[in-house]
Amino acid sequence: MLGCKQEHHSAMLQSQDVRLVKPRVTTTNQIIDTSVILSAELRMDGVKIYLTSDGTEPTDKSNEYAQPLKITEPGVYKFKAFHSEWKESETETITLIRKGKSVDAIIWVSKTNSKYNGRGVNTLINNAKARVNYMDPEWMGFDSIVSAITVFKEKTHVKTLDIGYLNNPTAWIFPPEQIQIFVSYDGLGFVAKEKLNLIPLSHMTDQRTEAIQIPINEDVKAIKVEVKNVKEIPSWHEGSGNVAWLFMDEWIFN
Amino acid sequence: MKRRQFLEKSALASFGILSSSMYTSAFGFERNKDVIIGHNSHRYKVDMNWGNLNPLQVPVKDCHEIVQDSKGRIVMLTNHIKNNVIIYDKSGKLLETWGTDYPGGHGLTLVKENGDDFLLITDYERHQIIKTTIDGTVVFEIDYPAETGKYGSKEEFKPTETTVLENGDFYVADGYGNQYITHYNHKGELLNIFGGKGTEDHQFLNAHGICLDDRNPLDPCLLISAREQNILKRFSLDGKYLSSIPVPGALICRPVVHKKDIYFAVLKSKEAPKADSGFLLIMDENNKVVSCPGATSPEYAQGTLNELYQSVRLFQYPHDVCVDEDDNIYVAQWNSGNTYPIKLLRT
Repeated sequence: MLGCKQEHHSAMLQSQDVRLVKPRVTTTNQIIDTSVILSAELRMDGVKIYLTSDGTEPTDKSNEYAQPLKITEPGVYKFKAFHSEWKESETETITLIRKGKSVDAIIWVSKTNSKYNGRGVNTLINNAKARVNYMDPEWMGFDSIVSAITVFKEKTHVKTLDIGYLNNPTAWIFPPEQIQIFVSYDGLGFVAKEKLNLIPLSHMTDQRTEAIQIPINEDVKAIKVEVKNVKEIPSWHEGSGNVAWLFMDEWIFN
Repeated sequence: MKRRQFLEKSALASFGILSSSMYTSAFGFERNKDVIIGHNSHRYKVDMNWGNLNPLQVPVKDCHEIVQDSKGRIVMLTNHIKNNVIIYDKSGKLLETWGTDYPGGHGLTLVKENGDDFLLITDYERHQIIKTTIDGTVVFEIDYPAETGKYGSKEEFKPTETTVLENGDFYVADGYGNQYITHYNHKGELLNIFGGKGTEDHQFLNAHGICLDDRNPLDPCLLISAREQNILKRFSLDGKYLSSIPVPGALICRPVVHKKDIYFAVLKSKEAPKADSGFLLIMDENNKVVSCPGATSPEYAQGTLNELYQSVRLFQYPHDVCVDEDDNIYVAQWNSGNTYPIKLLRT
C-alpha cells in the first residue's frame, strides 16, 4: 500500500499492549472533620496521574496530580494513570465524607469472630475508615449477625446513616444480605424503622470498601443496627453453600 | 455469515488497525515498540508467546514450577495429569512430556548425581515427595514424617518445595501443611526437623519455598520464604535461624539462586485492588532488591525497603522462575487461565 510505513513485526510485548495498574490513592482520613490530605502515586518512571473532582472520568487533559492535596470539602475524587508505553489505568475513585454526629456509646448485642475484633468495641464509631486489607484493625469481622445499639448523649436529629462494609469475595467476604434499623426516642423502647435487602453479589469482583446510606430523618436517642451476613455463598463461588464473612467499617450518623 | 457481511467486517477491522497506528495525542503515546520491564541492572523484554502449545494436545492447569536440566532444556511441572511434566528447548519448542500421577504436583527441583539428572517433585495432594529420573521413572517416594510426632495424619503434610545439597542431602518445606522443614540424607532417611507454624523467628506462615544459598561456598545457608509474612528467612544447614530479609508487599514464592543474585516469582500483594497482582523480584549479592519486573521500583529509605506493588497488569500470579545461562527468565504462573510460561529476555 502506498504511503504506508513498513509494519514493525516483533514477537515481543509491545507498547500499549498492557494496562497500568490504578494509582494508589491514600487519605489521612476518609472522614473530613476540618481537612484531610489526599495523595496519589504509582512509583514508575514516566507515569503521569490526572484527577477530577466533578465526577467525570479523568483524561490526559484533566488536572495533573503533582503533590498531596489538602481537601476540606466532601466529594468524589477520581484518579487515572497514563504512560507513553503502557495503556492508561482504570479509574481509582475515593469518596470523602463529612464527619458524622458523635455517638456517646455503642452497646454490642452480637460478637465479632474472635480473630477480627478490630480496635475493640468502639471500632465502628472512632472516625477512622478501614483500608481495603481485611487485616486492617479498623475492620470488625463477623461470621453471623451484627447487632449493636448506638446511644447519643441527648436526642439528636439523624438524617442518614452510612454503614461501611468490605467486598472481597476472593477471601469469602461478601456484602451484607440484609440491614435492619430500629430507632428509640427515649433510649428504652425501639421501633422498627428500615429493612433493606441488598442485591446479592453475582460474580467475582475486585476487593473494595463500600458503604450504604440509609435514610433515618428522625430525632432519636438511640439507634439499633442489625446487619445479616450471607447465609449461603452463591453457586458461582468456590465457597458455595457456606456462610460468608461480613466485615464492618465505620457507621456514620449524618 | 454471508460473504458480503464478512467483507464489511474485515474492512472495518483493517481500518481500525490503520487508524490506531496513526493515533496521536497530546500525551504522545508510542506504538510498535518493545517494552522493557525491570529496574537498574536487570531489565527485560517480554515474550508472551514463548512455549505456547495446543491446549487440546498438551494442556496445563497451574504451571507451578520450572527448572533447567543439565542439557539446557526447560522442564516445567503442572498439576494437569494428562502431562504433568512438559520439557521445552530454550526457544519454546516442545521436546517431550510425561507424568500422569501428580494431581498436586507443585515443587520441582533438579538433582545432579554422578552426571545424571533426577527430579524431586512435591505433591501436596499425594502428601509425598517423589524422586524420579529426568524421563519420569520413579526412584523413591517419601511419606509424611510420622516418626517426628509433629503430624497427626498424612493429610497434615502438604509439601511445596525441596532443595538439594552437593552431598545429596535434601530439605523439604511443608508450605501448605504444618510448616516444618524436614532434612533427609540422599537415601531419604530423616535427619532433622525444624520450623513449624507461627510468627516467631524460627517459624513460618506459608513456608512456600526453600533454596540452598551457596553463593559463598565457605558459608552456605538455606533461604526459606515465609510467603504469607512477606519475609525471606535465612537458616543454617542444621536448622538454626540466622536472619530475616523483609520484602514488604511481596508474597514471594521460592528463592532461585543464579550466579550472584536471587530471583523470585511474587504471587501477589495483599493491598492490591486486583487479586492477581504479581510480579518478579531480584536481589543482588548483598540480598538487596535491585529490580522488580512488573512492579514499582525498589527503593530503600534508612535501610528499609519501601512497599512494592504491581505497576502494570502483565503477570497473573507468577509462581516460579527459572534463569538460564544467558540470564533470561522463564516464568510459570498459577491460576492464570491455563496459560503457558512467559519468557523474559535480558537486555
